[in-house]
Amino acid sequence: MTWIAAQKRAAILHKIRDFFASRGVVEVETPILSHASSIDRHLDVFRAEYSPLAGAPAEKRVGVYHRTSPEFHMKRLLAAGYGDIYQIGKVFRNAELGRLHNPEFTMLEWYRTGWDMEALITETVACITAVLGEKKIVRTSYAQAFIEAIGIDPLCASVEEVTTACEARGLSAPRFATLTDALQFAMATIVEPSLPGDAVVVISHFPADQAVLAVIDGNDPRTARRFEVYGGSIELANGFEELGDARENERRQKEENTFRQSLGREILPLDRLFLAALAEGFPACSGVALGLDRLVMLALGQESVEAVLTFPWNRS
Amino acid sequence: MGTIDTSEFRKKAKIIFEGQPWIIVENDFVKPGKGQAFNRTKIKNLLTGRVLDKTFKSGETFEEADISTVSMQYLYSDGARYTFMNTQNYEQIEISGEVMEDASPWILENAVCEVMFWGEKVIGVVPPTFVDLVVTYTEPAVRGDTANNVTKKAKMETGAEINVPFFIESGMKLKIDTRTGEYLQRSS
Repeated sequence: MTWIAAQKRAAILHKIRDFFASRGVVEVETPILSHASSIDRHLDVFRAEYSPLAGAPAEKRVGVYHRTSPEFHMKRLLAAGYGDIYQIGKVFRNAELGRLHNPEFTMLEWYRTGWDMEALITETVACITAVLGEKKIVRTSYAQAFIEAIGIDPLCASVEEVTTACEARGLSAPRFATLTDALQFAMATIVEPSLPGDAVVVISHFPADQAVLAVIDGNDPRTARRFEVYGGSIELANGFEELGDARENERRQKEENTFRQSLGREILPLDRLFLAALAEGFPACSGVALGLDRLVMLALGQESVEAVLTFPWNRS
Repeated sequence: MGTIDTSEFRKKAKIIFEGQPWIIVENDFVKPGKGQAFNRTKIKNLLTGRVLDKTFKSGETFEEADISTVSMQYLYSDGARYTFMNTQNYEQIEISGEVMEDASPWILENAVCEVMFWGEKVIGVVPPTFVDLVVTYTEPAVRGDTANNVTKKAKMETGAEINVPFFIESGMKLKIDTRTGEYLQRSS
């Protein structure tokens, strides 16, 4: 990163902290190393080891994880009675390296108590445009974006239909095990590249199977109150109207572990402290995580996150 | 040869895909935050030159294509086949006109080319980047045609036809960039 870019990056961080300070959202820090990890079917974690003594034998050392996001710790704070909070910090995702990926990157994550998805979408767009300047805003749903880009309704499509539509666009699609796999492929290769390059695009109401930890939409249970925000065709943020129910959280995480196993990934331990905190009572809230390096990259007119990192992965 | 997985895709990596050798022209790692990872690539078939947009699931593995290049000197041609000599061990090989298609308009006898092999099989010939060739015919310059950037056709001694500035005359020797087929300057 050049000296000029470093100064611009610092100014953006300053602007974001001002943005939240003026809205009464409090900055917090939570652990980077954790005894449990969040469990995502498609995320690979970095492991580390705690040693109670210098040179302790293997059986006394404790395996810990680098966080893939600060989500569970921040939710534990909300369950403990904290109000609106945000965090800017490093997160770690193994096996992700490319033009838009660095295995360690900076995440901006925040939670708004008592807010629904719509309110948080508005604020997320406000935060992004505070950094990027005025932009055209495009608001659509996952289903609408698919119908416009490939003429298929993802909420009632089959794997074969999606595969055929991809191939009709000259894409030789891999063989998909599930509809979700096929939809994610079409999303990444057709829908996202078709989004208007000069706009901030909000896509909401993801299919229920891709709810992750969002609540299911009461009006259309085929969808979840989950949204993503794109800068042009680049994914910037992912948000949920948060699922507070402890049992359903546990069920979904176990399901993620089942997927992980089928994909050849290791089974991860459930975060009992997180689940216990939810069981004690969790406020209605919405939360969103935003890839800060990508936002800085767009603000600086760069093509790769490397340009806004002091030491990208291969030189870290 | 070893295997290459998608994390080892780089520009110019060479893989076997559907039984043929391909070179990676572009590679982009694509992964939604909550989704599975893909590699969106542009690959070029080293036999046919065909370029294909292809998206692979991250983690797929491929046999590495056994591609090597050897410097060889062009000796002579009987019209259908071209005879080259390995400049290291003086072995001679014949290369078909079909494989020579891209290189033959630019080379004279004794030119040293990079010959690409897939295993034992010759699959391509890259001529020297810059060559000096004599103009065998071009229309004489006409008075008044002195405007900038006006060009005309010139036929070179190898048979290639290129665009040249108006002041170029038959018999002149020109430096040409074989990657673009463009005239650069008069040879000194």
